[in-house]
Amino acid sequence: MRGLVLAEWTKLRTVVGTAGCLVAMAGALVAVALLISSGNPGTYSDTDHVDEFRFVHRELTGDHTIVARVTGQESDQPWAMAGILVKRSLTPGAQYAALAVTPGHGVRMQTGFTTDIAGDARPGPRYLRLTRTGDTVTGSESGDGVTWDRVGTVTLTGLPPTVHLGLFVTSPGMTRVHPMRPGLVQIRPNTATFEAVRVSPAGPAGPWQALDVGGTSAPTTVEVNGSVAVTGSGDIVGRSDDGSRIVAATAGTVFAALPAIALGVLVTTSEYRWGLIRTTLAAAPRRGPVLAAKAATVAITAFPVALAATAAALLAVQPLLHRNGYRPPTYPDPSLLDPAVLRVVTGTAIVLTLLALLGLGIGALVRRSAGAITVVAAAVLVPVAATPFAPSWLQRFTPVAGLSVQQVRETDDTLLLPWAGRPWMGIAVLSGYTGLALAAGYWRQRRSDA
Amino acid sequence: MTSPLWALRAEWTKLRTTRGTAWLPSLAAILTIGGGAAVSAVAAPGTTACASGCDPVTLSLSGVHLGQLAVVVLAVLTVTSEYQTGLIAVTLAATPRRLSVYAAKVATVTAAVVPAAVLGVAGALLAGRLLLPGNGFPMALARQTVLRAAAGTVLYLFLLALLALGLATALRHTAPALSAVLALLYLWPLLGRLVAVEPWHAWLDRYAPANADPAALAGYAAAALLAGGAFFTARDG
Repeated sequence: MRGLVLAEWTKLRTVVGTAGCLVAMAGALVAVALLISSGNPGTYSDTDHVDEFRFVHRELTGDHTIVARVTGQESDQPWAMAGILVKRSLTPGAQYAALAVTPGHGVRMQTGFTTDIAGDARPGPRYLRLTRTGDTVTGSESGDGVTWDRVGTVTLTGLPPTVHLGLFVTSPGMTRVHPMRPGLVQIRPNTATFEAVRVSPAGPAGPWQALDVGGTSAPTTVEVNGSVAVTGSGDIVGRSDDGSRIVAATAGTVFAALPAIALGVLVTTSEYRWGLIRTTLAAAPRRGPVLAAKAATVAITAFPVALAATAAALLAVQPLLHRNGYRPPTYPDPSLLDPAVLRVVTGTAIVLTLLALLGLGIGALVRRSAGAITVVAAAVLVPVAATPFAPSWLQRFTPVAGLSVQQVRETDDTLLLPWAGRPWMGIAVLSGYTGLALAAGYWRQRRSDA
Repeated sequence: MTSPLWALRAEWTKLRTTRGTAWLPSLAAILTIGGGAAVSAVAAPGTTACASGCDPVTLSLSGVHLGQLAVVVLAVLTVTSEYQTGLIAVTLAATPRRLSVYAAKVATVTAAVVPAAVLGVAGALLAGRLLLPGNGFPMALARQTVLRAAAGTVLYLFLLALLALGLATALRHTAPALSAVLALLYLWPLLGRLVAVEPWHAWLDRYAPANADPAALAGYAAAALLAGGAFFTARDG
């Protein structure tokens, strides 16, 4: 067996194609990480909060109460919000108090980007009410619009007489999970339906206007009577460590997957191409050990290279990210000894190794580079390309599921990667595919002659 | 024996009889129709498939993203499989004029891809027409819009085949040629999403081969064909 592995190692080392694949894999990991981290801040800005949402509002002077019934919202993201809001001005970052229904966390009253008061967690349509009295805003909720429960009272110091009062909708995919995971995060707007919208006292008031706070589109005038549907995206939240400093370092994984797959495929198919396989099998007639030696050689080359490249990328991008605003206290310096960081780095190397072995198995099965590369690459790249439109099971049950190991915080329910909260599940799915491919390759080797 | 017509006939025979390439045009059509039908069957206004606004024609034709794989493999293999088996030496001995051989390959791939693309696109549109109204899509579409989308898709697959053929001729080996085309198709758009800095973001987005306008794609195809032709005439075998 040692001789076999040595023979495979020599072939891998000296064949230009396979060596090139290793270089391309490591290069893609480092290059994409550097690209994304250098002067490419994505949605990051210098503010300590995100303040983007769809706002259907009117300008009102004096003390007022707004009531609305949220009958439902489309989004199933735990922290999507549909509710009512009072805001000092339409500028992002301006003082506000919000009362909203969320799909995963019940009724919430929020202010100042960090204050978050929990209300009723029961599902179903809710009546929401915000009452502004001078500096204080009181939020109440009700199931029937008759008996009201107080959620909380907050003070907005120095709130001017004239404020904006209205309905709002968020869908956090775009801001909580930043755009550093290309093709892995689905960004969908949220649509909520409001009924029984009432502002009292009615008094003189401007028309209802709709606009995207923090966006660029022009405001439009809307009719609000009876039921009204509001569609929007964004989030209203204090900025917190979303793992950007680690995510940026592993952003090249999808790009490195292609050479990793090609490596695995070429280790088997290139021997068939040159007829070398006949020599190999004449020297070692038992098919099992030959395939095992190939798999072992691919694993012991691809894994360390991928691991070293990922770790190198992680360390190399930190000064760049720090310079671009990703720095403590919001974004603490990552350490390779942090269990989550360790999992992401080793997990990335494991994913690339498993993809190479998947290529090897399919290569042994079909024996032709074109078919093997296309099938395996398509199994990874097509789900990624289709992410914005595809149902979520496409990610969870295709080989690309392995990338779930890259979610930085295991329990973060706002991460929209496949298998959120269960980072190793995706590796299990990918291992299943790899195991099947290797078994099928072995079966073909046993059954048909070279 | 050296007339271009003979070269053409030889290429056609190779394409028809080689194990890999013979059934790839049919596969391209099947994937285009099947993929489109699958998407049309599950898509409904308000579902994920319609997150970014739903156009029935685009939905029906979404199988092209799978069908293009078969087209690319066909175009690449037309060139690289000859190098793989050493047949290229015989081909060039029989037809020493490189450009005749190259032109014959281009014509053969065109003749294989275009009918398959027409069939696939027509089938996919028909499948969409049958499936989408059941999911609540209005199907009162202007004939002109549909014809334009259909012609554009056929043109896309044709130009993609030429691009792959040119790259394969320049690179001569299956794995690198195929990887390069797959990267252009699937990884370029991802790079566009990664780079947030303007004008790079807009530039990457706009010129990605997978969603470039026909003129840009024709430019890529022409550049690849020229590069392939230059390598093919300058190099021995």
